[in-house]
Amino acid sequence: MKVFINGIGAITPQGFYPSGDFLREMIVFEPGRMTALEPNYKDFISPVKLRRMSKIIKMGLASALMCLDDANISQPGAIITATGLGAVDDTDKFLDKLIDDKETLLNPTPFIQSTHNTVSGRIAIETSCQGYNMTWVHKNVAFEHALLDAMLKLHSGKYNNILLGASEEITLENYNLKKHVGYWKDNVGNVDLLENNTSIGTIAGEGSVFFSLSSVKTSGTYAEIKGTKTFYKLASGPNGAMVDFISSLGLSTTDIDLVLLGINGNVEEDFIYQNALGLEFENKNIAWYKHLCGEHETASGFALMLAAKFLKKQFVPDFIKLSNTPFKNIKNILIYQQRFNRNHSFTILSKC
Amino acid sequence: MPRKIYVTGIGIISAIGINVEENYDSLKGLKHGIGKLKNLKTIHSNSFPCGEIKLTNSNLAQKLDISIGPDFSRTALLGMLAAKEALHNSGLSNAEKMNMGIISATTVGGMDRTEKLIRNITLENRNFIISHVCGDSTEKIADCLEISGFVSTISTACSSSINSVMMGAELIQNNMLDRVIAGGTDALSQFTLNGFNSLMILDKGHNRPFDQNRKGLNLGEGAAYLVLESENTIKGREDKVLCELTAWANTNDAFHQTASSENGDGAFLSMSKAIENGGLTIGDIDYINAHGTGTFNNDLSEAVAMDRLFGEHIPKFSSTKPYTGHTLGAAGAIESVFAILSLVNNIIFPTLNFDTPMDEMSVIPVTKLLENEKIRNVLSNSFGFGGNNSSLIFSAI
Repeated sequence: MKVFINGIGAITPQGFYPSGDFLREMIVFEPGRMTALEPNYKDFISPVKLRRMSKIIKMGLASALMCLDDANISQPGAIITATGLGAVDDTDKFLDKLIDDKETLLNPTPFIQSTHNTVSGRIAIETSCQGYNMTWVHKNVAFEHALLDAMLKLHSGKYNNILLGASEEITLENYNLKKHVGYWKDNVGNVDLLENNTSIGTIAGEGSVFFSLSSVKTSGTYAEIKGTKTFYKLASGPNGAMVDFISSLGLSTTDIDLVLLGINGNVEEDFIYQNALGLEFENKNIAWYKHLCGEHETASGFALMLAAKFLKKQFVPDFIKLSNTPFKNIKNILIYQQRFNRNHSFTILSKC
Repeated sequence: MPRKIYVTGIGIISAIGINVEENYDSLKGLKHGIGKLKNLKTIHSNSFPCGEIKLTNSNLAQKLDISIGPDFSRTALLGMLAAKEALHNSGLSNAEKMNMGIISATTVGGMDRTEKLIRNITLENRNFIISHVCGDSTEKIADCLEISGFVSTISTACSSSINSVMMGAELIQNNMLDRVIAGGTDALSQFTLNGFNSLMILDKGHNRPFDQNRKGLNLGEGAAYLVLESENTIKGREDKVLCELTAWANTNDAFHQTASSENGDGAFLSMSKAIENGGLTIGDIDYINAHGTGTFNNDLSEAVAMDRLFGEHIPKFSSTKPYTGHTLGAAGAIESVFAILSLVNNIIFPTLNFDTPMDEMSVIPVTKLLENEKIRNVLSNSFGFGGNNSSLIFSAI
């Protein structure tokens, strides 16, 4: 059974989608956090409800509703979400108050909203969806596990469509906390990330991307998802696993027209991508995406959206290209991302 | 026909014991683990009894024979002990661990370290920041078991680990993996204790599920894991099979972020779909290990759901939360282990402290230890914030 992307909704540091000017040009950020540029939430969510929502809930719920609208669906059959860090803002709010006031006078709202499944639960309420509901949280492959889950559900034949999403928020407090462990390049903006790839750290980002998946193609279909696979630790390096993955889907490396890489400018991470691309990938179209969305646990959701849009529009903007190749007639895109050579993921999308 | 899924190993640590045998003996002896907090430092230690494991982190590290730094959360240590036991009991060799995956669940992750250290970050302790995320405990467990490949983490509040067991089964059924070790782990923390206190659903006494005078839940901590295999991989190892994992379902109440609906929709759907998915009828269920937290809202909603589904013929049911407390992300796996112990030993562990039936519902849990019960199918429930409801059915071979 095939799996198609029939709708997308996204709120990202590059603005929100669907909207006409999304990715027409790259939005440039000063050094620091790449925060998501948000739509007018009142278009999607009632002001009464909005008041208590943290940014991840607002982004998650609004992008989910935008996605359903894009796919022309009012109620999904199942809701599957991914987040590595979850509701950071509400968690920190509750923890700060707990420490400051020595475990007294605590307001329950941030606690209630602090669980990792807050976004998926909230979407279930808003769409009255009593179907399957799941939240995957394993670091930088949380989104791929959610995608795999969604594909299994569609293969079971029990669901007409599935709402799949990835949400992450980067608060100033969390950004500052991670400075202690050398996560960020403090003085580099997103356009200069690659030029500064000989030092440790990367640039922080956030965002929420939702997909409406179905085994039935529609007039609005973006792309077909062929498969996804994750690996915790690749003892013999990523190249073999990547080639094996491609052939497991009945394709060969020559079928891959574009490789989208999770390069993030961190000297401790980026060399892995060099190791991954063997001779078979010479002269391939190579592109990257983390300078658009910033580094965050579920950035691969953003990558999947880019790939789906490229396949549908047959257009790749110059500001993501890493190779001096034609970028024409793109049928199959391979996304490869990893963090610190620990969790790796491969995903392939095809033109419909 | 989808491949059958078998459980070939279980491992557990909770307030009533640090392995399967100790937990079983406590349940059978009606011995609970709810009492005054010792390890967790909090101003509430005299107010709210909890199901705390009385081993310190150093004790846990000794049992694991490892040395630990600030990047080892209690959540990870508990998980490592329980997962090791499960794998050991399954009798799998190192070669057989090839193409084995792990799915672990947690809600607090490394919060126990973070809440202690966040205002006092030093060069020596700063790695607690990296180990805060939920996925870190799973990787520590995977490293301890020498599992690589598919390593994943689920967090759906209090239904987290029942969902990891369910997903483990689905990955095997879909030929993605041969074997999966699935379960969950959560340590007690000031964060969760104060969170549930802010919701005013903690009992100052000992929790009493399904009782008219129930006052709330007691928090607990622990971890439990199940080794799941398919019918193809158990050949020659049939003696290790404890039971079959027959069916499961995951639904959403879609009612409120924390409260369960009055009509128990989510629970009704998860139980009825699990029974339907297993090709069973309501008469096939001999025992329900209920979610039964002891809060006013949960127990009523769950009772309404059981009443709607089973009518006059509600199976024998009990909640084991009075023994362990509510272990949040670990609860689904801990209660799966208890459900399997019921099934394998034909025994039903009673709900402690039950005295008066609810005014609204005439359902009464099992209150005395029942032995020599013929149990073919056990249904286990776990529900959580976000409206998450899940049910599993384990069946005798």
